[in-house]
Amino acid sequence: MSKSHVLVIPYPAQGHINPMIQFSKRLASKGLQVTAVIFSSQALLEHTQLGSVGVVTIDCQSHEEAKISIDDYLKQFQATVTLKLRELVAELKNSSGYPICCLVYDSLMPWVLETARQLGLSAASFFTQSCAVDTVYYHIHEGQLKIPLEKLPLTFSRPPALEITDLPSFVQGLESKSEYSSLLNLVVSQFSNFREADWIFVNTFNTLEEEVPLKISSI
Amino acid sequence: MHVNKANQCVIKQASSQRLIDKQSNVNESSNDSNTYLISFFFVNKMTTYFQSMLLFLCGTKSFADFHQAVNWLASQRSIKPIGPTIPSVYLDRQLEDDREYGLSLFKPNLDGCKEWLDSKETGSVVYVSYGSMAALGEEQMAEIAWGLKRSGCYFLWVVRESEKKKLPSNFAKESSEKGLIVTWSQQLEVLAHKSVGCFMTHCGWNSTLEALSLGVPMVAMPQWTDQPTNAKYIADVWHVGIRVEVNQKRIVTKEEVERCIREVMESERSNVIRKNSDKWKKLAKMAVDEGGSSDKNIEEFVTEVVCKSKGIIE
Repeated sequence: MSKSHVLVIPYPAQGHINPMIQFSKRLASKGLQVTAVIFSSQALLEHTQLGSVGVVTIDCQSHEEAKISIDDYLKQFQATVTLKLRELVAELKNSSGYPICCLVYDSLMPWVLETARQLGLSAASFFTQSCAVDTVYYHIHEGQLKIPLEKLPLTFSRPPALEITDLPSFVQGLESKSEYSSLLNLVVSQFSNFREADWIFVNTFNTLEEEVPLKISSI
Repeated sequence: MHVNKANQCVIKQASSQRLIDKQSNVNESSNDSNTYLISFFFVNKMTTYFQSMLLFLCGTKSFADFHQAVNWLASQRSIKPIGPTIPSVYLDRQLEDDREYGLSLFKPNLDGCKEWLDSKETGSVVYVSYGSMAALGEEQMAEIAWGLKRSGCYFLWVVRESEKKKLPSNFAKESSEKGLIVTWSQQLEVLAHKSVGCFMTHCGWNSTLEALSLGVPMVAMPQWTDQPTNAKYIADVWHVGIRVEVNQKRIVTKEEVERCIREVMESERSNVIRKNSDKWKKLAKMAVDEGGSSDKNIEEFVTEVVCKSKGIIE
């Protein structure tokens, strides 16, 4: 019987690769065929297999290597990934015998959803950061928090109240660096189309963040 | 084998579990209907909210808003926590060979690291790492260095190759009896080592989850991105560590480094912190162990993917 095959696509930074690779291993242990694709100029693995997870490395410059602005880099990155993903999905169909049925993508790459839809695949967005942090970014995306913040601390329905120094750095508004606004756009963009994904995963566990505030009450 | 099992039980399992979830939680959330429109992460409460939303439709004055929200919620399959994503050997051991992440941008420096830790007493070492990206200033590096020395504790400090030049020139020599500096480590192996008593961390989310999962108390020294918020939760919500204070120049002084290390390693408060760390270690394991909340979410995803790909469900 043919296996269902999912493609896992982390943003190519260590802190994003690790959780998505671990998720891949869990999926494979429960019977899925899993291939992870790493967009990097470095081959992180000598082989194409990490235990039961297939690993494909596709050559792609990192931001440090590209030596261009973050905005320009992200555009270039998106174009490369979008093009190469299509090729990879076609290739895996022929080579593995198990066509890809689902793309599990890092929430920092929300535009992968479009590729999934164009290819007729289901799609899952994977948030590698905490719910508490994602909640802050979400409220910015929805326009309920404006940067710079006017009213502090941010109080939620449950503690803790967040002072300026408790907020993600891109939200603190203390840095004048232009890269901060680019990075803020990036983290907020995680929510641009997340409602359309078939699944949304978060790297946390129920008891740890069950008390994370569900709303901001004082805006 | 798993796929077969998945196929047979998918409809029954998924639908009955959801129904149970919905029924058991309706009361808890039904008093707070406005929350739905602006909340994002309800973690495991997704299906609950959907259910209570439907119950509320009859009595609401703003049907359009709720209708929109219901459409949104209905379009969501669910928001599922699936972590902590720590190699299985350190948690539930369901995956016997899963000892490390396996894809590292840096090569760990294993030279003598384990032997060095082995030679130290239980809980006597401060492990210090600021992760794969953060670049500290030279002044800050010096304050950390001398703070470690002042603490009198043994320390294992990860200083990436690119950061090494920022260390005070005489530091390695002056601290050689107490400290070991490496360019990268097998962090999980270190955190799981009995000699490690505290983790001085930048509070990256993965490091945070690793320390929580292995029950290691933390000195939280956030640098940027999501780390300040993680530090807040480490210190004030989960109570598994304390957070350093920065001075007006936004520097953590050597005195502050020393104070925080002593607080976590030897103060009265350290007992409470240690107890909480143990608690989270157990809960993290429970979540991913067979039948735990994250394990079930992963299982459910697998069954849904299989059914979708075979056309059993849309």
